[in-house]
Amino acid sequence: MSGTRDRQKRFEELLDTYKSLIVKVCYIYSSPQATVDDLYQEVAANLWTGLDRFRGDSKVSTWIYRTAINTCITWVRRNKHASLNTSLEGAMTIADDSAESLEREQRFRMLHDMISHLMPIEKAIVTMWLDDKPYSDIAAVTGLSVANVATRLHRIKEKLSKRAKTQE
Amino acid sequence: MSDNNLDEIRREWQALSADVSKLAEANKMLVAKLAAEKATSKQQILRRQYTIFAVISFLVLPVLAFVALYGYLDAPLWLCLLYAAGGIVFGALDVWFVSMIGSVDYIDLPTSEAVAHASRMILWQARLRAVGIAAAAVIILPLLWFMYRIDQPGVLVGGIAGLVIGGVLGTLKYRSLRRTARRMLADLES
Repeated sequence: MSGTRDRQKRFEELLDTYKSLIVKVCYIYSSPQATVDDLYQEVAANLWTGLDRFRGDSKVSTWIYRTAINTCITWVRRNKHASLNTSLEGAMTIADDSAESLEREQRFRMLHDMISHLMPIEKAIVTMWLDDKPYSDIAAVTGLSVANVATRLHRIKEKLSKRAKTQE
Repeated sequence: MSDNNLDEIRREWQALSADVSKLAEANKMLVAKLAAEKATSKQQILRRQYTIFAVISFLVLPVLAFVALYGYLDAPLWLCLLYAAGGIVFGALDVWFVSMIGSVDYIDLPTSEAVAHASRMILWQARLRAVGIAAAAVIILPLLWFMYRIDQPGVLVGGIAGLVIGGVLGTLKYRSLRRTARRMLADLES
């Protein structure tokens, strides 16, 4: 019983430390069919299952990125009865409602809309690039080479710019 | 959107942190659910789903064939055997798919491999669906002919309507799944 409690405590601390990272990944991959809540719960379930398997052969953040991204990529709609009662959609909003923060929120929604048209592996790259992760970390999570990551990132930025121009 | 705009969004994105209070509450509830094993991953749910399909196919269809068709409606033996064989074939395909779902824990893979695995799964789901539609037609058409012969026109009309509608919807879903999987695989290879 104390083993389960320790595990629970360890997991709670892990979720607490990396909550922003997980929510941001879920936000990037969210859609009308896959809400942030659904994805967050799925990611947490997979992290819980994989907790004992994680041997520390990579950074904790790399493991969490990989689990979160892979979960979001392979997510399928769950039974509604299994969903959380707390909505996390508001977790991505900025606390104050100043004009500046509303403008910033609008820019994020525009970014989300542009990113929603990218392929799953491109979203993975952009998610970590937005968090200023080095190419080596992105390569470790995606399984691509560093050179491939750089090339793809350049193409992704071109796609985003092109899409932004058509939206203007 | 220029590179400068993207870099600015990136800086603001890094400064953004999730609302603490909402997550603290949700995390506590979630951890309790996980510890009580009330929440499971998509992979486990999919495995469970296809295991149930397999059990239904192995048990229900052969039993229906012999109890209802042979025992009650006096259908020809070859038709009952065809129906039962269909159930066994569908069940075997579902068992194979369950083993494929569980063969790799894609969560631990590098993302590119996880995408490739997910794409293959989607392709195989689409193929299973196509095989199912074709096999169902082979099994259901003689059944409908039999129903017509024993003067059950209502069943015949309903059966044909169901076969056509199911076939059209199933084919559309199959093509959509195949398109999605091929796009994902092509993107990885690009």
